[in-house]
Amino acid sequence: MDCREVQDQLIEFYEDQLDRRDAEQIRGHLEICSLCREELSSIEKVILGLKSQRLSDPGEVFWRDFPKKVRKAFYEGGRSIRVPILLRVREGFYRTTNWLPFSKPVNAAVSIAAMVLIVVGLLFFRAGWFWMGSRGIGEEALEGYFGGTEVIVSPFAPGSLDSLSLHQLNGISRELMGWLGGMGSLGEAILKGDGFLREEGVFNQLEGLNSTELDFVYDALKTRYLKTSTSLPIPNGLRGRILC
Amino acid sequence: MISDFDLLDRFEDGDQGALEEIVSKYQKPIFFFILRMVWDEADAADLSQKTFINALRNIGRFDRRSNLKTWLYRIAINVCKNHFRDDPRRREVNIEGMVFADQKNPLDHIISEEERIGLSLALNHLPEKQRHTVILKVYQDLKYREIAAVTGCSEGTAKANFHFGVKKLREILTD
Repeated sequence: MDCREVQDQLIEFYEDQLDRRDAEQIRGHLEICSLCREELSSIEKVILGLKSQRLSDPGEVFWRDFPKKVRKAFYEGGRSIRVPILLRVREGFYRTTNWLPFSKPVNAAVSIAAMVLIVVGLLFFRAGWFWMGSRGIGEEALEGYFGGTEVIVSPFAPGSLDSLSLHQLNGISRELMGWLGGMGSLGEAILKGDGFLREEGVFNQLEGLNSTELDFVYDALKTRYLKTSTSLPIPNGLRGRILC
Repeated sequence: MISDFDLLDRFEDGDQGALEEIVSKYQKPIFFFILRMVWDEADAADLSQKTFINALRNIGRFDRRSNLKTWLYRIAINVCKNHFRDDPRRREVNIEGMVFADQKNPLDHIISEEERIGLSLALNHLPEKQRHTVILKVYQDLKYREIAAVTGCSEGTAKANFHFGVKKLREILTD
């Protein structure tokens, strides 16, 4: 056996998984080869190093309650709810459906405030959506809503990319979602991200932009409003026109 | 000792206690397996719950010729994949402070604290299949046959994945 053959089998040798004959041959080689002995020693170091790592245990309370939580979630169709970091209680760090009743007054206050904010946010969202819908689709509605000139990417406002800023986009995501929702097939395509924009006919609606720029706009919309990741760099032509 | 299949029969007959018994039996290996993938205790707890619920909701698809443990690991891997797919930033983990030396391990002196953290980071950056294989072999003590069933490859491929995974870790450690 040469060194290469031996080294190919060292892990199995270390794990005692070779048949007796092969193991004997490797043992014999190791007696005369310091290089392979070193190789074996480093493999041993990795495996023992990995094995010696211990993770913190969540504790008895966790293990006792976890099956009950799963049963409850399973039979009640419940979903796990991520509780904000402020509500984390070290001892029972996992937070699932049973975070009521509150264990501490401060938790209760924070939770109630969060719920109120969510409800208000939802009501506001609905109102905004309805408002956008009532004003019609496109530039007119957007101009009315944003006070005139600051129109975001819109097929109905060619050239308006001059005013596009990702910070602005970030601040008005809710409104833009409402706008997209009211835009008919194009808006639906953006929301679904199904590539509809790539069709020639739709490209033509975004006058003045080439396909690279359109790809970027499309990706920026997806990133900001659909919470997906973007991989496209900002096209050179757009760089001067977009404040990032 | 009650077999997994007996527990599953009882579960399918609507015995809620059987569900708890199944979870109790496998909660630790599944939780720690997921924890080594996501490096966040809260996420590991949520994803473990999701793993059991997904497994039990789809128990009709479970082929009883295989074993429940490998079926659960397989679902855990998918749950973790979805977790990272939903937000790729979750891959940026902070391992320091989560890995401790096992005081009971007499061989602990062979590796320094720095090397221990380095190994965990390196493990985290191995290609997916190699990472799964190394974790399942070293920490979950699965046999290659079982790892092959979990990762959906042949036993030979599972061996090769472990081999290459350990080799890469060794190279990183010796660099």
